[in-house]
Amino acid sequence: MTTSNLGLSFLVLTMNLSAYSILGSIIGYKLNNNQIKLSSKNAAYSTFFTTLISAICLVYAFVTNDFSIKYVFNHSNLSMNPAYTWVAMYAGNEGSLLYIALIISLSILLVLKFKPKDLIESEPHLIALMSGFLLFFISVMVFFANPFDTFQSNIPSDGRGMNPLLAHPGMFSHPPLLMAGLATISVPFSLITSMLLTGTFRNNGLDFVRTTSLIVWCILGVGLLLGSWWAYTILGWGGYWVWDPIENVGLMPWLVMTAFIHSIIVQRRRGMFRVWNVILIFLAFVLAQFGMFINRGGPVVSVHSFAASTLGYIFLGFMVFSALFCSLIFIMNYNKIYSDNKIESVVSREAAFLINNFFLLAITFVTLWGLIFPLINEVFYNETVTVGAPYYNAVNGPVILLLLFIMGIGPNLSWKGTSNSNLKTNLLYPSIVALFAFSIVSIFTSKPFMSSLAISSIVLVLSTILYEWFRGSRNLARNGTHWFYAFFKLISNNRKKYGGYVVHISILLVALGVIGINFYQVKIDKVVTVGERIEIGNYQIEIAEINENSFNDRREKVATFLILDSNEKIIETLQGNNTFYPSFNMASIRAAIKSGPIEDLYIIPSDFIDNDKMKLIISINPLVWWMWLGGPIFILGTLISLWPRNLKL
Amino acid sequence: MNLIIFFIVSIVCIIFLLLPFIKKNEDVVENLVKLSEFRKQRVLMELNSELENGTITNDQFNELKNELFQIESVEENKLENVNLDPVEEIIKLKKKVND
Repeated sequence: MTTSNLGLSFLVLTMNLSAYSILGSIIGYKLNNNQIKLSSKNAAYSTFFTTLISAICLVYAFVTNDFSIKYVFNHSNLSMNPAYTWVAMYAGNEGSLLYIALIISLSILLVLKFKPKDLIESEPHLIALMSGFLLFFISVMVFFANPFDTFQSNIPSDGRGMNPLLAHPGMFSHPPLLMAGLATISVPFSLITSMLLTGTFRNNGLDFVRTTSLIVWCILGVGLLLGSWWAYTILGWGGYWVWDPIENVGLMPWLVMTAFIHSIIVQRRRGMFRVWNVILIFLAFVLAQFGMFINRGGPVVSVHSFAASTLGYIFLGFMVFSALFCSLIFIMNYNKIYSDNKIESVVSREAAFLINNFFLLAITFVTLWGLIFPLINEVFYNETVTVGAPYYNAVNGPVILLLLFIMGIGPNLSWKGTSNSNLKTNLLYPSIVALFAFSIVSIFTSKPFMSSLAISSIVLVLSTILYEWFRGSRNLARNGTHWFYAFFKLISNNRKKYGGYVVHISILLVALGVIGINFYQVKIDKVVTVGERIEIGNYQIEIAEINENSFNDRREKVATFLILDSNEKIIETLQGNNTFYPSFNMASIRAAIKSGPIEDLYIIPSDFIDNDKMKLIISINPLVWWMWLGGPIFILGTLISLWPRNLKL
Repeated sequence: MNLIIFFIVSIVCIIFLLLPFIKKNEDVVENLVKLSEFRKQRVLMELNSELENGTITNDQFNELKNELFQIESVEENKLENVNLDPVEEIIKLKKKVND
């Protein structure tokens, strides 16, 4: 038995185990037979181990350069850095499907292991739903996209190589996190659906739903941010986000999940928004399936559809099925999930959460419309239309600004209603600081009104957070406790809330980078020769040399730049390259970047015209550095929020 | 070697699947007790919520609570068929009457 046969055999075994798990759960539930239920649970547990062995087989095939397997041939070669074996595993459609299946099976294992006992009643439905999701991916692999498919004859001695754009450190985490995030939205979806089906969607198990949702949301968020970093450093777009379809399909479920993790708090605290929460999680799940469809042979053109295939119709079918299933479940259970309370005041925290949800969904639908509008136009009018960044920036920009504003106001409102004195205490000083920031930015810069408004909104949110922390720490420090310790005690005493505040700070940092690049970027586009100097901002850039290197799989042109300050002193030497991969007919551009908290000097060697002449796009991108700092702070905030109550911080 | 790996893992999986049928172990009973306890708690919460909302009176609350505990004590003897539904049915009925 070859490695490919072993891998495929374990996929078939996983498929059977998943099918057994679904049937066992349904039959066990119907017959109220606990032996059958337990047996199906054991089958669900087993799927992780069998999928893992399958994945190990594929990795082993890569490590041993087994080019008899078509997938290994298509995504690696003998000159590939062994460190990229992990990346190669999910570099194409079949391997990424196996990776997704592995993640789903792992999530089944973890959910069944750690779910609280008050979800025991909905367990059979949960197993059936999650195993059903796994079964879909495994079946697609077994019948349509076998990662272990082999050459029957003429086994090649070397492979085609991995997509060159994927040879980047960011690829170790960006695609797996994004795929894991999209796939594991199935966890909160299955939890809520199973609770709905058993009539237990009240307050039991909501903490577990929140925990899983936060983890999924964090994974997806970090995946998106890492994708931006990768685009910024390697794709040579000159930016971190271009509203590309593949980016958008990852962003939309994240936005809906953001709305969900906020509104689930209202359900927990006030017994409200039950129907709304069900709609949100169903929408997030369907959008995640939409993402899978667009990623795998969807009809829109993207600059980075690495997993593109001809399987689009299967994923489209699954998405339609998911949407119909969700609609049916919702219609059948709508009457059982009424809310206990109603919004009593517009100036309340629950009202702020609702407005926040409204804005998040508005951004989602604007993005979705931008994505599907070209398709609708093509189908109905036979016209090719492109919806680009200007549309998204123009429509989403003001909504994001309003969202930032609500982020500053919302946490300062009380449940049920806020008194005027409370409003004054919480918001007076932060509002003064924000107004001051607005005046300073408006007076000292000649940038649009929107930029001043955006910066003052960031200042408002930040100052409300810092002011609340200051007051809380001061209260705790009154009995002689050290301020530093008092602050940590404050955070520790209310981890969910203040973890959320830390996440808000990370969002502010990302917003700062967005504002910097959108409103304050300076850009020049020039053809230069070796030895020439260009002046931009406080920098002078001298093109020191251009070198050309040839490798088996690529031709690389490397430009060396000397960066001088206004006193003509060399402060740094940077290199940027433009590499062409003939077997992929693809160029990969790596920008030369001098990064710092104030600004980034960003040089894109977009085209090498001659041995000593090239086209450069040079820009100064203010504050982008803070965007990347937002990533670790985002993770830190989520971890604080998730940290269990019975564990010391 | 690969065939042996596949064979062993398959056998382990089959045994794992058959285990609950071979060994009617304490887990099953433990799970049933958990389920029974959980459903009791759920019905109690429902009762409390109905009392707070004014759907049922104090007397009805006490009456239903007693009924719930009676059913539970009967069911403890036959854990294979945990059934607390009568109380849930009564709550629904009372709600309809009050509506």
